[in-house]
Amino acid sequence: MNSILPIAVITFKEGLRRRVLYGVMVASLLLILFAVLISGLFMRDILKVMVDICLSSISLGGLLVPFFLAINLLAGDIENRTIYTLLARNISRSSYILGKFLGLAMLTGIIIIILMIATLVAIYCATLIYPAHNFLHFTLSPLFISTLMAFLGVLVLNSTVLLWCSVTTSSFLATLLTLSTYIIGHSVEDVVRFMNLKNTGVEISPMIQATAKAVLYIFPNLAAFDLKQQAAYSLPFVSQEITLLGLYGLSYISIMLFLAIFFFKRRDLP
Amino acid sequence: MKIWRNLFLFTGACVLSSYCASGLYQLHNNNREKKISHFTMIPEPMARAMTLEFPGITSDYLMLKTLTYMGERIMKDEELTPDEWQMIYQTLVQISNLDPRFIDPYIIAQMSLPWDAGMVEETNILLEKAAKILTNDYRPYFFLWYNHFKFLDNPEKAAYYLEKAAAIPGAPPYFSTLAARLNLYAGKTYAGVVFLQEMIKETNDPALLKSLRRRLQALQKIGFLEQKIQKYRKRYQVFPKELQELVDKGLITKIPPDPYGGKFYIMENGRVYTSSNLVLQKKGKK
Amino acid sequence: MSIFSCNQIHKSYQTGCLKHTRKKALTDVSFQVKQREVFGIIGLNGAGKSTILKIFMAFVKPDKGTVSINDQPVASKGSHQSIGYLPEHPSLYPHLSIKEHLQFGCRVAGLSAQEEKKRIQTALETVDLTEVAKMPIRGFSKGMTQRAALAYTILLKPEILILDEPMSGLDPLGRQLVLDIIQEYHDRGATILFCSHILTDVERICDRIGIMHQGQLVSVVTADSLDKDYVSTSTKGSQTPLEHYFLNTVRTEIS
Repeated sequence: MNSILPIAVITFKEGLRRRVLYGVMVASLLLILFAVLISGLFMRDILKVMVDICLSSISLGGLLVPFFLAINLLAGDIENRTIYTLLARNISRSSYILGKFLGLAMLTGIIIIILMIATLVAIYCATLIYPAHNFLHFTLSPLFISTLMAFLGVLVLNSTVLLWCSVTTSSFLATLLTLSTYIIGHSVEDVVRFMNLKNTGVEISPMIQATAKAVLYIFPNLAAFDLKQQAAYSLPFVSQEITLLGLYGLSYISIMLFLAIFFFKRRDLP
Repeated sequence: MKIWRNLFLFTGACVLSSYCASGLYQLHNNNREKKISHFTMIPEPMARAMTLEFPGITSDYLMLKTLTYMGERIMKDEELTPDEWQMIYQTLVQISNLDPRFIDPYIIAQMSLPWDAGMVEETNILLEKAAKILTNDYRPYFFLWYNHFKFLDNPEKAAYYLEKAAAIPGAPPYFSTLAARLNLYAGKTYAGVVFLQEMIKETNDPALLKSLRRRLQALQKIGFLEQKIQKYRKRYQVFPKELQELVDKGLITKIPPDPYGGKFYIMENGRVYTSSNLVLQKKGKK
Repeated sequence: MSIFSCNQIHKSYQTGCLKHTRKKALTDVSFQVKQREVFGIIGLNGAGKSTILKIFMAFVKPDKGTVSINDQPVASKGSHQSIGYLPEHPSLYPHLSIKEHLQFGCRVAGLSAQEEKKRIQTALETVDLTEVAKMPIRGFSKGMTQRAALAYTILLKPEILILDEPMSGLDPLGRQLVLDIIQEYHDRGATILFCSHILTDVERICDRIGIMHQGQLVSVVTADSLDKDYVSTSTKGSQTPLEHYFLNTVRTEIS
């Protein structure tokens, strides 16, 4: 178990060396410029537009990890057989999975932190340029909480990537499965709500109803982690929601890691 | 031992996650967002650009969201505020921007906006657009006819649209004679019945079907009462003062209940209205 | 006491897009390797040499049969405590330097910072890569990568070595280096299991040699008996004793 941290570190380093940080820094510079300039085009809600742009960029930056880095680092590990380098060292497969997850979490964290700093800089610049009355209602805490939840959402997606990579050998398939998870995760709640609505009306097959329910429980409800709107309007957060979200994220991640380890342990690495 | 411990932890995580999943679902159900989608607020060219090569599926998704939004309200028998109607209208416009050939937003608009929100002019703008694009579909003109006839009290314009609708292949054959059979005085209720029957044929969304059927039922009852009132008038040369008189004179056995939960009553001109919030009557006056 | 032991192992891989065809990789393979022994496995490409080594590393699970290292079943905790494994196409992380790989190896083993430094230095000197220690592996030639992987393998001075084609892709100098290292470990009392298809190298260092053909271990000979056999029967001076024996064995199998 004490090998988890070294694996995390090596994953983190390998991820960073792929010029990720340069990319993210350039992107965050662009973000600052873009956010400051474009919000000037709007008349009233300058702050809202800025927060929208910045938080969306943070989410996008975070999503780079599951979609590009994670699959590269995990499926690539098996495809290029670099995994032998790690597993030859008396490292159990569960430590491998946990270490990889931790490494990916660190990568996600650093990217989000850089973009967060860029966001704060952008907002600071905007206060210098635009009239002060735009920023009267501005508070930092919704911004932070929403970013934290976005981070948790990306971690949930990361954990599903781990599961997909441990059940399939092909990185293409893993990408496809991750993309599907992402899309389902963002629409499942709306679809289930729509289906439940129909239930009270005319007959709808109980099969579909059950499927919809099952999908809600099986796939991660990623849309729930999206609190950008609340942050953009500086709305107060419901503490119950935040607690539920935190617990949900953590338990869902544990389930995914459990399953990933379960499958990964039973699998050949030819 | 280890297996049992792991199994226990795993089950625990599953239970916790399910609990949170349903908790979040309920929570989101209770304090629904006041918006359907922020995408609605984006100007048309930008919206088209942002959807890349997926405007079709985006419009489908927005449609789903709109239906859910309206459906929830209809199910709970809640009325929407003018702001909400405005938002629904905006969303429908955006959907038609993204995918102009998509018939659903036009139908939904026609089925709800003029009736429940009094947004006749806005609906007509949408319908004109639809008529221009969907040249093989009689429905946009049919709707325009109805709106002009029923809501705008403009029989000339209405007849013009009905003619156009009848000219399109696939239109029900009785359209061509419909205009002649309708006079403004007695025709509104009948036109409404025709319209609703056409709509019900189109619909398979249960929530909307429910509301349409209720409206049709109410209209049919009003039509039935008005018919009896005419009969009463022929017999006694005056309109009855109250509907009860129809029962007293044996024309009907009892006053039918209003599906909207109100009470029917007679106006001086012999037309039947209802005390319920039958939006059809209230919003129809213009 | 035998260090490596495998008993009647069978392994087949499922291939094809629906995993419908089973390809036999190993059929009924059993052998033991004693302590301080150098055991070489030779065979044609695809004979199943690598698969055996991977089974010992617990990367692949046999369908049937038992495998143990140090009398402990593989994949059990601690069975891989002191093993150095060199994969066939040693792939290190292309963006990391050899030093970072070695650091990782030390940290997993829980060495102190001082010990770590010493071990890294020794390993780097052994394979003669001290100067490029901080370069990313990406820029290495094939031979350098192979040597870097070797440094990683012997980092913790393991008592057991499993080497999968350690000499492939190396220039004569590099080959000599590998041979020297194997010799050194042999002298120190390590047990070495390796496979190769460069017969001359195998001949030079092995105590015993197993010949694999189409997933079966068709013959195990000691280096000594090989020489006797060769002297008594051979007429072909162009072949070394092992080459002669190997070709004979494989030809018999085919016919």
